[in-house]
Amino acid sequence: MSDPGQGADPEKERRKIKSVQKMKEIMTNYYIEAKGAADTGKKVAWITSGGPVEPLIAMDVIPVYPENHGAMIGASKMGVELCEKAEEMGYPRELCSYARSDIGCSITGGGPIGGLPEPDFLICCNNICGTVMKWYEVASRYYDVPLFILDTPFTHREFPPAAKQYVIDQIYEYIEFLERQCGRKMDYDRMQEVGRLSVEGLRLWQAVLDSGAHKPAPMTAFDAFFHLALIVTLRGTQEAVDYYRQLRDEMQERIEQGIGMVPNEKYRLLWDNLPVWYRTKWLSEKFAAHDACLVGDTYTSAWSGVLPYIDENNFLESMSVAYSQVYINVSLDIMIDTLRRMIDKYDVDGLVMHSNRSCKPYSLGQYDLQRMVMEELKIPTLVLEADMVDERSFSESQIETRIDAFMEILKS
Amino acid sequence: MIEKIKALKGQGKPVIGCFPLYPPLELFHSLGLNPVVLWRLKGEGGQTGESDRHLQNYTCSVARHMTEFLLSEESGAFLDGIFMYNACDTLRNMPEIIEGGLETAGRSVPFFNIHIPMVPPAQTDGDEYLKNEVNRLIEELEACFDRKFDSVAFQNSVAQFKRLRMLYLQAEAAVANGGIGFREFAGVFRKAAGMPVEQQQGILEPLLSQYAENSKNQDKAGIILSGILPPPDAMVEAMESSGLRIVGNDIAALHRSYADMPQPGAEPAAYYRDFYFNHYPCPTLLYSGDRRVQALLERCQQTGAKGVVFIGEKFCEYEYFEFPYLEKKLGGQGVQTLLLELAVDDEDHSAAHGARIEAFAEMLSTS
Repeated sequence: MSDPGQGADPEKERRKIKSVQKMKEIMTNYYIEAKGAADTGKKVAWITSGGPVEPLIAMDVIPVYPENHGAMIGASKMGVELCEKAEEMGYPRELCSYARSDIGCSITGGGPIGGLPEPDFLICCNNICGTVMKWYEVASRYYDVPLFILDTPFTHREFPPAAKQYVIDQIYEYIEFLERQCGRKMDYDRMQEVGRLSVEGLRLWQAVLDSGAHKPAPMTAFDAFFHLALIVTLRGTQEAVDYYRQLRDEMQERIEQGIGMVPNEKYRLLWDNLPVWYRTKWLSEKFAAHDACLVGDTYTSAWSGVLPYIDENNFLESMSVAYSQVYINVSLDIMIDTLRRMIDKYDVDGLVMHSNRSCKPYSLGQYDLQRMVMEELKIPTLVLEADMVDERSFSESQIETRIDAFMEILKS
Repeated sequence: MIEKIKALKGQGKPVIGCFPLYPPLELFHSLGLNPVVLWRLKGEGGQTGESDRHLQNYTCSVARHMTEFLLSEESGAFLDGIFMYNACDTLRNMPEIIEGGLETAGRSVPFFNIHIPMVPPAQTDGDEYLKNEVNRLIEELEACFDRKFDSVAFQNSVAQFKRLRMLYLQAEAAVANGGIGFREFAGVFRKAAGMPVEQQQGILEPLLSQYAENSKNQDKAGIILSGILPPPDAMVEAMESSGLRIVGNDIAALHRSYADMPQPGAEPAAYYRDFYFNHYPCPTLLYSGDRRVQALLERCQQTGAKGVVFIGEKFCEYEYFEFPYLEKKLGGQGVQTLLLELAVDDEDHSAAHGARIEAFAEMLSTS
């Protein structure tokens, strides 16, 4: 942080992403609207981060993401306090820290925004994990609201037509559920428009992420973690499209002006798994001190990674495949293909894997992916043991030592 | 388990290892395969060195031991196929992890899997999809093992497993009235596990013919055990010596596995629709969560149990998410609860729970 007395460091100021302020404004307004929903008569739905939000947008329901909230809790370093509250209630430390911190927040009304607005109903899609189903079951009982479950079969080798039809059928059941909850019919023209905006937003988001392929990278994965929020929460809105167009343009300007996020970028790294939310700044600075830039990541790419499956002219049905094929709902054989493409696209020198105690679907299998990357692609890898929200699982000295050792390998 | 699998191989039928909980055993059996549920593999090799190369230490012991078992030259080499279905997050990548591990070792075993619809049947009609999954499995098994599905054979297999389930329920009834001790019952289960269904019946039948309806220890406080696997004998002993009497169970490997009697029929898809969608509640069958409280209360009423002891399997998220709710709801009905926990290397130290068990027994005796 710059010292006001000394004046801002012009070089640092030049590297700052200007769109950050706009993002903060949008997210603030979004939460104000969500928390004021009772006054405006709008319905609030809690939805899992990988769930199909577009039908909610089309029905003018405010989507609220407990996982996004969990990320905010982690980033504001309030995770331990809230997790401990859930642990006192009997939810042990081994459970997902997004779930624990959110449950703690529901009880206390604490957290960075004083708790989430209460849901009118819940939408749970298990394409990211099965844990969310147990978590949403807890929320459904606590708030005494209906829960809709969207089951997306895991793809081991291929996604067969029967699985596609099964998910399509559920998508229509999902819409019927929304119609019952909202007391009005779905406007399918509006749905199609929301689908179009969703695809446009995803394309722009992918373009933003693709800017990391430039040398030097105009932004890092740590920036992507921050700017991800809109593609999660407001996907399918004009606001998200406008924002990501602005951000993409800013990245383009930075490329044209030769502005890299990491001064003296020498080593380009790829990040795997969710962020360590409470240590993004520390990790960013730690890597930057080694002239290393995390130019891409598998996590923020997951939303736009399904673009090839989406048909804008048949958005509803094609999204059944897209939502079933997200990065962690496919086998290691398919994941390694994604990793290969990203390693190639971003021309990375190493892979950093966050072994995240809270996220088994993302983490179990990382050792095998690590071996594949090292053996097939001859890329050095680093596994960091931590947790996305619970700081008690982060050992600074151990992680620092491991990063230093890894960077020595890269430098040698 | 390895000796049992070797013995099965000696019978000339292909052996298919199944994981976890509730595989379509009748179907495998009807196709002339020997299905073995890969339960309770702790102690088969003791260590988890090979598993640790693939799985983090925050993976449950059940999955770690299963992985170790399948990847070890000694045990995994005797399987002709491996079947898995979607039961929890830990299992999502498991088929590819195992396949990769086997490939590294220069081995290959055919994998089979199906996706059980995880939607509440009242919300979504998953019949057609499940039917497709079951039929796909049949086609893959037929092609791999050069077999042909036969509906009469299937009905016979269904009858065999129904008979086995009934024997287990009769044995449970004997445990409830004191005729058979839980340790003895769990020992019989361990002995029978991994054997062909006919042999399992042959183990249970003598047990049932020998026991006397003598209502032993009826003055002791009755409890239900809940969890994934039967607890180690040392833990059961600690319970019994504290004045508790185990009168029933809600254990995934036991009661949850055999409590239901699906409607017999010649059509596998219909049979497994009934089997999975009306299954005795289990956290891994995600849609059944809301039925668990009622099921546990009924178990308590049937057996006169005053308490439920949950044996938590460390890192089993689905089980742990339900404990606070179950504790609250059961407590509201006057059923006391105790939560104990077992981890990967806790088997030999389970007696350390003694103090908590004693305190729980005292509370029940005075309640």
